[in-house]
Amino acid sequence: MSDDQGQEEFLAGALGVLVQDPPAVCEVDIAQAVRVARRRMRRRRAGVGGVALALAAAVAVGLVAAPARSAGPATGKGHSVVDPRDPVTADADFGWLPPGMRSTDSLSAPGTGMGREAIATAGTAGPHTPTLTLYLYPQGVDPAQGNTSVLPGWTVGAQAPDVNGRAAYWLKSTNPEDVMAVLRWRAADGRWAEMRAANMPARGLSGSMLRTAASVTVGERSAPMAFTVNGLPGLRMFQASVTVTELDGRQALTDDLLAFSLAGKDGSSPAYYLTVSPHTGAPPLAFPALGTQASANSGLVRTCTTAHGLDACLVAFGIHGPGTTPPDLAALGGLKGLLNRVTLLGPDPRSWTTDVLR
Amino acid sequence: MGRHEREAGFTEFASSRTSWLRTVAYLLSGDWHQADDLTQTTIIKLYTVWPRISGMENIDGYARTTLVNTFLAERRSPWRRVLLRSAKEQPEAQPDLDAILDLRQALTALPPRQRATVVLRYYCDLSVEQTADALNCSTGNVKSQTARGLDTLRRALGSHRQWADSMEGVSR
Repeated sequence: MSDDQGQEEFLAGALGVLVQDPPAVCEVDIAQAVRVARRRMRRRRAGVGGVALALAAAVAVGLVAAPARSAGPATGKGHSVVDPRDPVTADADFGWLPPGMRSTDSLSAPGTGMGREAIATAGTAGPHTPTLTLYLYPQGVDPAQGNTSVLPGWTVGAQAPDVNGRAAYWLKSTNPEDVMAVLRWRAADGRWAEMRAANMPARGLSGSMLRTAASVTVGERSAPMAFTVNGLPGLRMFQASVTVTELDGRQALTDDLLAFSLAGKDGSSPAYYLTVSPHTGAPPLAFPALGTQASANSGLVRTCTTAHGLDACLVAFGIHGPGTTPPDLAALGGLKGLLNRVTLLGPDPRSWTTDVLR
Repeated sequence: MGRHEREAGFTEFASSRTSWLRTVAYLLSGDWHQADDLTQTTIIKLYTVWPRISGMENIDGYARTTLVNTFLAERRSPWRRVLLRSAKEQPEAQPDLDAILDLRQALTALPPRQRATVVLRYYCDLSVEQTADALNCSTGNVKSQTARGLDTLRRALGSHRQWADSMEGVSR
């Protein structure tokens, strides 16, 4: 036997050995593959049929009709569950995630101009943590047009395989230093969805992202919060957010925020900021420290409490000393009395509620 | 044949071939997770053409070709190149001798078309002609790709003795 023949025989045997011990969990799902294939076939047929129907209609009524677009499925999994007493909602949720990743969140109230993103991470959040971020553009906004993209410096790149039968493409950055991977696709409700992958290994990433995208569910739902506010009918919320991160392999609250005013009769209510975070004993860092010139200038006052492993701090701006407390706040017992209307539910997500503003 | 019979036939075919497709996909991609994705995509593609191919004599060959083409198409995409370039820019551990001797790593290091040729020839046991058919190229191209692939593996793994050592490591 020549050396070449021996090596070829060895190679044939070695390749067989390499696949002798596949992982027990096979992620191939034939039923799901059939469903996706059916959708694609329907879409192709609808594309052809839609054009024919539109042309027929144009001829019949003597109008120039635009060809019907193949729309794909009309809705997603449809999990629209919105509690009107919860200021924070999510637009979309992850379904399947790459091994080791866990769904967390960084959500805010609609219309407040703050980020509304579903996030999945592998490990405690940090600058080098593998992270998937999911963002949905508003209905009717095409981020490839104009300056509507939330990712400046990224442009349309290579075409990607369809996601559940709908168009998808990768984004490319004008900055060669950028190593983030970004996939954008048309979601089930017609909006554009965008998924960013950071700090994730390149091997298999495109496949993982496409698979993750295919299992995303779209539809507004309320995001549970770790506190309730009771008996404040005049509360006018102007910002609210929930940030959930992973800690020790579990979901853990990082920060809940509720910014609001009270509907004072003269419209001069101060701005109140309620922050709820795991108990550390440290004061909130987002505001100027008490006793500083900055806090004095802004009329900042603060009161905090701790219960069930959570710290809640209520900060108000625009109160410049005795005699300047607004009547509405005074009637509630001042800042302390206002904070007494907040009930803390604990750091365990299972105890959180969407029935927030009672 | 009615739709239900057709679907039942496809499900039976896909169920019985998933494991095989998955192992070929693993040898092509070097990663079980990616192998699952490649297999899933292949099954989707096969379903869409099932009415046309279900009467074929060599459905397995068609399925294998679909899998290989899916793998090669993914590797050809510009996005894939971006990912690979990005990955190289990140700090990596220096490969040690053990890693060099690892057949899996050596196989993964082959260019996609060479890897596909090696897998089809030596795992799927296809002839040069069958491999050329699957890859839609000439037999001469298969021969040259095979020779280059083997040469690359030889360089990566060293002598025949080292190949055998690597094999023992895999078997353990």
